[in-house]
Amino acid sequence: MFNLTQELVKILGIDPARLRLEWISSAEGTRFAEVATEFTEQIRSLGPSSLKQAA
Amino acid sequence: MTAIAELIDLTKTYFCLDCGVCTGSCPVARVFPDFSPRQIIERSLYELEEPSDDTIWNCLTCAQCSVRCPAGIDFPEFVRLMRDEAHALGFDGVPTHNGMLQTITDIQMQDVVQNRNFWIEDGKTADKGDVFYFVGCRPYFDVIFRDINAGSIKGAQNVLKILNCCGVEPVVSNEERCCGHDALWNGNEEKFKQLAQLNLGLIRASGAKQVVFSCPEGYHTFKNFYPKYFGDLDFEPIHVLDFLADKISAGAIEFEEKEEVVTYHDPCRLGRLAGVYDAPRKLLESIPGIELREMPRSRENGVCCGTTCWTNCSSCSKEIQVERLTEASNTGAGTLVTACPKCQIHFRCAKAAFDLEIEINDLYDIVADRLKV
Repeated sequence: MFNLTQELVKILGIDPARLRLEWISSAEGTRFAEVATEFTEQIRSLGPSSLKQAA
Repeated sequence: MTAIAELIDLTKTYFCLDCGVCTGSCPVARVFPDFSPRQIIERSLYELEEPSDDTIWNCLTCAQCSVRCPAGIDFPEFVRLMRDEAHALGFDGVPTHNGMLQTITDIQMQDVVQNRNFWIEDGKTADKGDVFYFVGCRPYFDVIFRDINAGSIKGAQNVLKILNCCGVEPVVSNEERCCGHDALWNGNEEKFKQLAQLNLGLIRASGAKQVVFSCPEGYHTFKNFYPKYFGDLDFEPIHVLDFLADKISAGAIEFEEKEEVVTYHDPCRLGRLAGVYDAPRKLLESIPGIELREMPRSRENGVCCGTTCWTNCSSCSKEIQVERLTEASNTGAGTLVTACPKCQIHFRCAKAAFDLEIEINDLYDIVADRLKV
């Protein structure tokens, strides 16, 4: 399903790099923080989305 | 005057004769006996019907009732206007697929540059020209319904192949939006108007004189609803079957002979709403090796594919679909041919869920598969 969603956003003209799926257990606090920080950085480097007005 | 009273005036439901032909004809009423177009009309006349009443969302708007109504009442239009009222008050139907398809059209109203032309491959298209091919939502359907093997994009590729074969290289645009059909029939007139304006602007900029459709919903919406909201169009919306009719009869296409017994399912937007019954049959019969067998319920009596507008798909939809596919099988045909990407999705979904034998195929796939190149 995630792969399909990535394909869909690509057709819609949204960078698929703005979408990410990770499964993290409640016992993996450090991992969660790492992924959240990394993904936030990635989104920041991509700049504002063209959908910014939509929200 | 209340909103409902205005609506009654507009659709003239006071001409109702109480005959019940609508409910007797309704495919939903056969499965859900509580759903009755006749009673909805009667309740509305006594102002007992409320837009909050969720039964209006069960209507397939398939027009089986209105083509038979002796008083000429357009029940689907009545339901559409009721849904306008309901939506304005915050009552909506139940979106299928968690509302994914509604979200996709919402995003198309924003300032995005779509990549919807990924499917063109070796097809020949142009950036500007007299003929615009309005593809419709197939690129999205192809991804969303891959699990049921919907094969939606093949239909668009094959329409382009047929057009190219006839020497036509149409404009196909990444900037095309949903035609607004579903928003319109879900009571969201505002969304419909926004989408329509974006499409009208696009077509105007392309300079096209003819816009070709293979999707019955797009065709019906452009032909009948765009002028209603925006006045005369400066281009001609034309169905691909009409567009190709002269070229095919002039022998622009040659077919390879392949034996196949098929039956044809009339999509409600193409048949009852746009009046196109003969063209698809003529085309099928002109292909050597194809034997067309009619189902008992065909043409203006053709049964709907069971659900519409990505709203309220239920056990009722499935029952209608299985019954229809059984009716198709009983003709002895191995393939049910339809000319609507949504009919194809709905039937292939029922086929997958109930493990049915019959093949479901798009008219343009059948044609393109036999083209002599």
